[in-house]
Amino acid sequence: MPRPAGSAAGRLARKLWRIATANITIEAGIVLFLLVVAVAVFAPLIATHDPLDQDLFERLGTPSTEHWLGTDSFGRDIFSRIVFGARISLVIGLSAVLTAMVVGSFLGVLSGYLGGWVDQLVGQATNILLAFPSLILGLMVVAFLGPSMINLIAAIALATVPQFVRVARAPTVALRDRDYIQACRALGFSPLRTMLRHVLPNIWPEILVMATLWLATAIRVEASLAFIGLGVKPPTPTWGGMIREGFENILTSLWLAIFPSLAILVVVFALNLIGDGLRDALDPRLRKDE
Amino acid sequence: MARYAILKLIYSVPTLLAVLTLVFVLTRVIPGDPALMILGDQASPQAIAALHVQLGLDRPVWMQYLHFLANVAHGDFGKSLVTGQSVVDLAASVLPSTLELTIASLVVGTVIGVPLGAWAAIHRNSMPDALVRAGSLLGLSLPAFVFGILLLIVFSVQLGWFPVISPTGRVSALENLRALALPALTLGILMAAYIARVTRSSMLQILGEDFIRTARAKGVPWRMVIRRHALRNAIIPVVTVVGLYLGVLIGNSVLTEMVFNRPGLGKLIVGALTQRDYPVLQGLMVLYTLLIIIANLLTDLAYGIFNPTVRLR
Repeated sequence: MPRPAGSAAGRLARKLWRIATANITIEAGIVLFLLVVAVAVFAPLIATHDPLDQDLFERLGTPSTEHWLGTDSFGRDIFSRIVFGARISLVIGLSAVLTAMVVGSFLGVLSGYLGGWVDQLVGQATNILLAFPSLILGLMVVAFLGPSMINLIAAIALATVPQFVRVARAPTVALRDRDYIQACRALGFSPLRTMLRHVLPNIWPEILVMATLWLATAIRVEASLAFIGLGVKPPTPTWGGMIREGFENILTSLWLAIFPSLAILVVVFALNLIGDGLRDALDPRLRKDE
Repeated sequence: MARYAILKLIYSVPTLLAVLTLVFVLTRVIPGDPALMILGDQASPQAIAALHVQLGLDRPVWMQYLHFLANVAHGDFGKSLVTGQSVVDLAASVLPSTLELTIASLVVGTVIGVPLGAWAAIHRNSMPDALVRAGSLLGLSLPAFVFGILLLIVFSVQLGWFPVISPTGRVSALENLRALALPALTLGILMAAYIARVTRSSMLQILGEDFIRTARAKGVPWRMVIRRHALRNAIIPVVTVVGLYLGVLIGNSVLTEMVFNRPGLGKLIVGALTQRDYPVLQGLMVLYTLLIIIANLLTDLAYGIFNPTVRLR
């Protein structure tokens, strides 16, 4: 069988690059998102102040040359807190979605490939979880387990898992009876090998689209939980938590709530751009090549 | 139709049972003794033991579980640890305002979203399409509380058109409507972003169908084709999506009620969270599950109304 030159990793990288540059929507989204990632990674270099430093003489200060976006009710620098807040949002969002993606895709492929009682069981559990909006499910879990970083990740991952199960299962069922998968079975490949080497490579584009869209949702849910008061404990800066604090001073200091709101909007919008563009690029009905 | 509804209802029993089990398990794994929580750190061991007996905590777990299910079946969720009021009464007192908000948002979302989506589809790849697509993507990116706060800042704080805090107690219908406007717009506009997208793609698909070409070929006016032939068919998947979105709406109402300081289930659950009022939390979770099951059931029924082919089955 003729194969394109280069290692498997090289092929994957080339394929990813082709997808990432498929249309302007994806490119714009990726640039915007990478910018936020850069801010999070280099937070200590970018922030002008320590995000926890309180300047008691500078409470609720308006934006100035010293404090670019003003200060909050504890006299902390808003700009620096937003910069550091990016870390929490991204770490929680990415960990939750990665966990959900790995667990969900595995369960989805497994139940689609094996069928039978495994499929029944996974399907029932998925349906039950799907009945819940992610915010309510997250709220329930964090309410009982307490708001720590790990619990937040677990709660958001739990709410996201069924989405990946669903998106991985359907194409697996369609692939199961294809000749080349039958051939794998005839050759005596283990189910695990067949699933990983022959099923997964054919369904991951869909999973990727799902991951970007649900990363957007995960970041939104994390911010919402923080706004409700179920985020990572203060004084750690989180965007949702900052909006909560800003909301308490909304009549006097509008910018407190507005700047972190814009930060959330930028990240989620960037991710939605990527997801939207990916969907267009990967939709077989719209695809030109291949 | 009735048989269909009953069948759906039977299917939701396992879901409800699973949630009840989850709620029960969650309340057992929380660190800390509920009796200690009710009585405080200073309570004597005797008092704690007595409360254990009273709460049934001295019995085996499976008996506690059955007891819990029996209580739920009787509509008994216990009393609030904070106010001593029955959980059912508490929830019933605020349920109408949450339902009012949900329904108003649903109306706003559909009335704005469906025409926008159809408009975008008809003018595919031109200005209206680009505007609707960009606008809806922006709407999808805004968390409900962020959008609510922005609306609050502009229309209540700056312009003073609407009250900053929703009035409580008995108010005139007009006052009520004024207080409902911004929360309903918050949720409705965000929902419209979603509905417009779904309507657009559904409409695009239908417009490519043969029967649309046939209708045009036999000389049906374009407007009529859109309204009678295209929109009517395009609306079917939208109904499902609206139904699925009801869950999101119920979730988002928690945030909106907080932002606009509006009484409702959301405010109740957040209050219970901060005060660690476990019976109220338990009861509300079951209530949310019930609401979502009912929403799904209504969606299925609405689907039957809009899609005659389902009715025959």
